Amino acid sequence: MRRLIYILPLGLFVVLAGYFAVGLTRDPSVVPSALIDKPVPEFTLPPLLKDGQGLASAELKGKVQLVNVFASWCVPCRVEHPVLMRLAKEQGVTVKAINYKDKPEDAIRWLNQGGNPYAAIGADQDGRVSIDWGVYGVPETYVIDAEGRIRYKVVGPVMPDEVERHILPLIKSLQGDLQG
Amino acid sequence: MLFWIVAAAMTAAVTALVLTPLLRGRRGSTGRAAYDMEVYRDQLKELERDLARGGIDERQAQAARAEIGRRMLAVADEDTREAAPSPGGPSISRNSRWAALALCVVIPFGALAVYVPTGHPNMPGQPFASREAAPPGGATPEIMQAIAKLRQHLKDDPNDLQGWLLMGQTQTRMGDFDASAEAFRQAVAVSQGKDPSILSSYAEAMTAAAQGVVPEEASRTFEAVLQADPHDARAHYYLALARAQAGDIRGALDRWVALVKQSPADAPWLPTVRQRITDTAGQLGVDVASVMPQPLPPSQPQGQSQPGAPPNAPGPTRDQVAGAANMTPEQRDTMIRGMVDTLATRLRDNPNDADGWLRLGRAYRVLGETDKATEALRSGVQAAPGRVDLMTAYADALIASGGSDEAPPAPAVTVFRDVLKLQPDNPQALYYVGLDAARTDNTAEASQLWGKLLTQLQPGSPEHAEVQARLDGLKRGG
Repeated sequence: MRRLIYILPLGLFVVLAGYFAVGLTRDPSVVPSALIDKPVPEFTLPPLLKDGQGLASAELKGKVQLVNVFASWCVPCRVEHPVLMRLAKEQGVTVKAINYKDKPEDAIRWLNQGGNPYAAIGADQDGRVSIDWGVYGVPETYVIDAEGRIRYKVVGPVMPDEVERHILPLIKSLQGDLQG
Repeated sequence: MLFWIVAAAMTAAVTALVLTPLLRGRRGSTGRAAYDMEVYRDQLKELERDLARGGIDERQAQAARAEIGRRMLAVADEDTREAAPSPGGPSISRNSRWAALALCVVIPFGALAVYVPTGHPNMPGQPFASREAAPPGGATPEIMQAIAKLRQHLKDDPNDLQGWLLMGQTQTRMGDFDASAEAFRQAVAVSQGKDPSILSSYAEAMTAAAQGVVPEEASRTFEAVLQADPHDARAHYYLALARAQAGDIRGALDRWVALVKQSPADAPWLPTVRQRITDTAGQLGVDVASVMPQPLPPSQPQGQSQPGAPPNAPGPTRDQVAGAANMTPEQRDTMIRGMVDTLATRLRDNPNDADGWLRLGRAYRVLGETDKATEALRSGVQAAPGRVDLMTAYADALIASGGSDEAPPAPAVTVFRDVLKLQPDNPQALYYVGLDAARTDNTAEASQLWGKLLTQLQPGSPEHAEVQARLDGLKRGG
């Protein structure tokens, strides 16, 4: 019986090593989202801009669109911003936004400088709604289909490559479903 | 010096602290025995008090007294035994004396050994106030002071355009891009947005402040710059970068290619743009060689035929050249004349500057003043006899001032013959001396010179064809 105690650390090590061995073979950037293919959570957010639209779950139905979670204090958001600008202004994609835990004046200054690609911006100052969305870091971007279901999620900045390879084809096929 | 005194005092204090218990030896334990005795004496007194109050009876008191007495004896016994020189005693105290001596040496020298390689006894003190203003980016206090002065000056005189520009440039160099963007914004406001280069600096600073991502406001500003000055390379460059950041790699590549095409070959930004083209072409999977364009010829003539020219020969500055591009022909003529006059005056004082004469002669040729050109080049040949580039330029000028292409004037032929003595395969000399020989019916010499010339020329080039035709003509004539 006492000898078993000496083997215990070895046993613990084997179990731990097993977990690590599995974990290391996975792609850390792929985070399973519980909300994929689920309808967007029920929420209503006040508008960020005085003359702009807020964001509510009811408005995310009827057409394929993107929801981007951003903040002026978030550095990777700067990198994806031109990509979103191009999606909205040149590639005809509707992009809406949740402004996550941000001071409104900072966010507005940020949009004045970098441009505003968003059709509607909901201000989520305490981050409650973002929790319902499963946001655990900014930026995050969701592709919402016409029924208001989350179909795809990008964690981190949206890169041109991602747009070409996944987002645009997905939007196209979702829009095709809508017409067909 | 004060530092060393303080350091020595501190070291001495530390050594003393460490040594005290060592040298005090066993006195500590003696103290404890006395303390114990005191406690037992107290207990005895208490015992008497209890007895007097009737808390305990005489028999119990007797027993307790005996117990306390036994303990006191034990303590006293131990005390005397330790105080008495035991066999182990002296050796222990000798050991501790050695240890004390060793520590006296080790502590000060150890401290020195640590301090000397890492410390800076001459480092100036840092009063709290100056530490607070610790400059970002490692600027010296002088620069910080200058910036503070400039900031104060701009507060008093916010319409000083040069001040804002200087502020912007300085902050850029210091890496404070938010501050530099703000300074350039003020400069744009003061200049009412009329100067495209200031707008361009402003947009560039905004981009730097956004960690290199071109914000939309900067893009708009660069577009405005291009409206005012379609040749602003910075605007072209950053607009292309903006396309790349938005994911339009093809658009970015096209813009960078266009920028190279309209840049002179000696433009300082070319290497960067070429690198960008290489990168984006790689991203698109396009062969770089197929898209990499040729730039314009260099804006400053490189002086192909003046190998002896010093590299810092005073020519027009880049600004002057850039300025000249925007001038009317009359203005440009005036500018060139101004520079030529300066040069001529300088050469009058220093007639041995052969390169100067060569430049002056070329300038006169450009202005169409052939006689003055000939004169300047003759002075050049006299200043530096045997310089082939000067001699050919001089002979060229002689041909231009008198005679025709078919019949070079005699002085020019003489100069060219001298050139051939120095450089037997000089093509210009071969051609013109050959021409002279042919004209004077010296067919053998002409065909020999032209034959030599022909071997140097690229077959298929117009020059080759012309010399070939002349050779054929000689054969037919002869």
